[in-house]
Amino acid sequence: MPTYNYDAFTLYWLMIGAFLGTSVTPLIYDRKGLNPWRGALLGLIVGVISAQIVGRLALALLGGILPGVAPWVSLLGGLVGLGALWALSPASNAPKLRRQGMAAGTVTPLVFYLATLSVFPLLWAFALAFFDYSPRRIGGPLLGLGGDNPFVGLEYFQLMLSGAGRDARIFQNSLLNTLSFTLLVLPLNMLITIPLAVLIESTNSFFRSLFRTLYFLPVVTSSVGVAVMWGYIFNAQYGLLNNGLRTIGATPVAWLQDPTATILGVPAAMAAVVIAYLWQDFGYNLVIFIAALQGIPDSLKDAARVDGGTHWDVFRYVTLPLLRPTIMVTSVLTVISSFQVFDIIQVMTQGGPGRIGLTRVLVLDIYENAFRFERMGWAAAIAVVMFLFVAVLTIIQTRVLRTNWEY
Amino acid sequence: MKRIVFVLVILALALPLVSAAAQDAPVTLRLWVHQEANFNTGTQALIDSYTALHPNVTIDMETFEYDLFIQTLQTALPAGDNADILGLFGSWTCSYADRLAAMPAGLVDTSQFFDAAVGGYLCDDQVYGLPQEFNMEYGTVLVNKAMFEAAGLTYPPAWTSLDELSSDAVALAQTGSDGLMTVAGYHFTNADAIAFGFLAGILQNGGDYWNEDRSAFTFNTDAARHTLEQMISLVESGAIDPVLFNDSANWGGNAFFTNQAAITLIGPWAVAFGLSDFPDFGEFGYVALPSFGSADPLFAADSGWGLAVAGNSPHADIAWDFVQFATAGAENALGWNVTSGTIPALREIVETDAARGDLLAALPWLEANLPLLQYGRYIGRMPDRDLVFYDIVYPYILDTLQGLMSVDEALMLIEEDANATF
Repeated sequence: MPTYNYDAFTLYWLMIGAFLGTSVTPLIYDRKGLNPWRGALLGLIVGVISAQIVGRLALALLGGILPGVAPWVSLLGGLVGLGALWALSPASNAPKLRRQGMAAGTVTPLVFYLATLSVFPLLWAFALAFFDYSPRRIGGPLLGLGGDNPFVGLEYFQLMLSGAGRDARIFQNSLLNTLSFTLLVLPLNMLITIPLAVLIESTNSFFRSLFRTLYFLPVVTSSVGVAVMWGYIFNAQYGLLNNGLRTIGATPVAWLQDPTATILGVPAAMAAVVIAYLWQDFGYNLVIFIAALQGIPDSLKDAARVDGGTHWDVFRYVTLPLLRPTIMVTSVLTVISSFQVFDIIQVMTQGGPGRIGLTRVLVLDIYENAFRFERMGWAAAIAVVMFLFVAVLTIIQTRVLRTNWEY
Repeated sequence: MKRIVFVLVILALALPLVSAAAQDAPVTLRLWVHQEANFNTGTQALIDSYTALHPNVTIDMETFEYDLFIQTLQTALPAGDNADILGLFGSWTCSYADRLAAMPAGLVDTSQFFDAAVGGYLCDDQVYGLPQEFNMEYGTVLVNKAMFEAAGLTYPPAWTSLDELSSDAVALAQTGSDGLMTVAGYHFTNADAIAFGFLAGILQNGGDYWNEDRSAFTFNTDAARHTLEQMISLVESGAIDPVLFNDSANWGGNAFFTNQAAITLIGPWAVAFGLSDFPDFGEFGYVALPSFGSADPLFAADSGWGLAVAGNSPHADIAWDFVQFATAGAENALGWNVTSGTIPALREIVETDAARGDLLAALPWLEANLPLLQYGRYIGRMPDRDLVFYDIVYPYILDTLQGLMSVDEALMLIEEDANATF
C-alpha cells in the first residue's frame, strides 16, 4: 500500500468538501423551498465532516487494492454525507427566500475560501508577531507555536521602539526609508499626472487614446524588466546617464552604489529608485485622472470662462476641486503601493548601498527576515507595523480629502 | 516444550526471509535538490547506478530553483510534505536537524571526509547528513593571462607575500579618463570573498574568531584588526575600487569573465561557470593566494552540498543506504565530483594517486586547491551563518573599505551584532 501524505489530504478534503457543500446545497434547498443560506451552512458542516471521514476511509480501504484510484475517490468523500443531506431534507411549502439559491451558492464558497486563504493567513501573521517562530524548529503541538518557538509577547514591538540592537536599527532605517520613498513618490506622482492628464484631455480623441496607451504601457511592463532597464541607465561605468554627463564634461556618479552621493539631500540611490518607480507607476493614476476629467461637465468650465476666468483659473477653481475625490482615491492607492514597493528596489539596489541600506524598505526587511533568515516571528511583527501604518495613513487621507458634495 | 522450541526455530529461520522480502518490496523514494545542471546530472547518475543494484528501489529526483528550494524546505518540512532524501548545504544542516533522521550508528566512518566538509553535518554528537563536496571559497584566485602579459607580469603568478600580490594588482588595475576604475586589479570584494577572506585572514594572522568554548564570536581582536588593515591597504594601493566593484555591482565572476577584473577571489565552481557561460573567454588560470601572515594558509570553509535523510521518511534505512552509496563510495563520489566540477569531500579521492589523477584529468584547475585542503577547517556552528556573513560581516567591511567607518568601529559592531544572533 502506498504511503499517503494525510496532512495534505486533510487540506484537500476540507477544501473540496466545503466547496461542494456550500455551492450545491443552497441550490437544492432553494428548489425545496428551504432557506438556502441555512443550506449553505449545513452543507459546509456536513461536507467537511463527510469529506474527512469518508475520504480517510476510502484511502484506507482502497489504497491497497487500487492505489492509483483511491486518492481520487477519497476526494469525493464529501458527496456521501452531502447526498444524504440533499435527499433527506424535506421540501417546504413556504418559499420565503426563493431564488436566493444562486446567490447563496456563489457567495458562500467565496466567503469560505476568502476566510481560509486570506483571513486565516492574516490572523496567522498577527499571531506570529508574538512568537519567536522559525519553520526550522518543530515548536509546540498547536501550529508549531510554543516550545522551541516561544511566546515573546510584545517584545518585538518594544524592541522596534527602543531601536536597540541590529534588528531594531535596521527596522527603524527601513521604516524611515519607506516613509521617505512614499513622501517622494506621492507628490511627484500627483505633480506629474494631474497636469499631464489635463493636457492630454485637451487634445483630440486620437491623440488622447495614443497618449493614454503610451503612458499606460510601463504599468503593464514587468517590474523586473523596468528595474533592469533603469539599472542600465544608472550604471556607473557604462550607463546612459553617466555617458551624458561625460559628454557635457561633468563628473560621473555611481548612482546606485555610492552611499555618499546625494541629490538635493536625498541619497542618489533612493532618487534613482524613485525615478524608476514613478516611470512605471504614473500611467496608472494618469488613466484614472483622464477618466475623472471626462466626467467633469463642460458647462461648469464654460460658466467660469464666461465669468472671465483664465485657463489657470478654470483649472485652479473648477477642475482641481472637482478632482478631489479622484485625488483621494489615487493618493490612497499610491501610498499603499509605495509602502509595498519591493521588486524594483530588490533588482536595482538590493536595499543598498551602505551597511544599513539606504534603499532598504519595510517589505525588503520582511522578505529578508522571513524567507532568507527564516525569522518569521520578527518578519510578522514588521508586517503588522506596516499594516498599521498603511491603515492610519489611509484613514488620515480619507479624512483630509473627504468631500460632502457631488456633481 | 519441544513444540515451542520447534516453533521458535521455524520463526527464527523464517525471520530473515520475511526481512528479505520486506527489503525487496518495491520502494519509491523522493529526492529534492536545487537546480544546477551539472549537479543534477551527477545526482541522476548516482540514482541510476543505485537503482541498477537495487531494482526494487525507485528514486525520483525533483529539482527546484535555488530560492524556491529554500522556501520549499521552509514550508514543506514543517508540513511534513517533504522528500525522503534532501540535498542540503552542510552549513545549514544543524538548523534543520529537528526534522532530519540521524545516521544509523556506525554506518559510515565520518573521518573518511575532510573535517571542513563534514563538520556542518555533525550536530550534538549525531550525524545528520554526509557531504559530497569540499566547499572552498578562499585560497585560490582566477587570473587573466592576457592582462598579465599585457602588463609585463609573470604568468602564472606565484606570489609568496601579500605585497607581491598587491604590486601585481596595482599594475593590472585600469582607470578611465573620467576617474572611474574600469578594470579591478584584484577583485576581493564579493560578499563571499570578503567574509571568507576576513575569516582566513584572522586565522592566518594567528587569531581565531571563536572564543574558547565556541559559544561566542571574537571579531574585535588584534588578528582581525590586522586583517582588516591589510584589506584596506589593498584598496588604498589602488588594487580595487570597492564602490564600483562589490557583490551588487560588477560581481567578481562576471567582472572577471568580461575583462573587468584581472585577479578575482572566488571558489573553483566559478571556473565551470566561466567555461559554460563565457566559452570564448581567453586563457585563464587558477592559482593559490599567499598567506595573510607567516602562518600556514589556514582558511575557514563551509560544509558544502551533501545529502540528508528526512526524519519522517518511512524508508529512512534505504534512504541512508543511498546516501552512503553516493557519498562514501570513492568511485561514486568521484563520478559526482567530476560531473559537478566540485572538490571532493572524501579524503581517499585526494590522497590516492589514481583517483586524484582521474580528478585532475577532468578538472585540471583544482591542482591549486588540492594541496590547500589540509588547511581548511569548518567555519563552526553559527546560529545563522547567512545572517552573520551577508548582513553583518560583509556590509560592515565593505563600508570600512569604502572609507565610511573606522576599523575599530567596524570590528566592534561586527562582534556585537554577530553575537546578538545567538
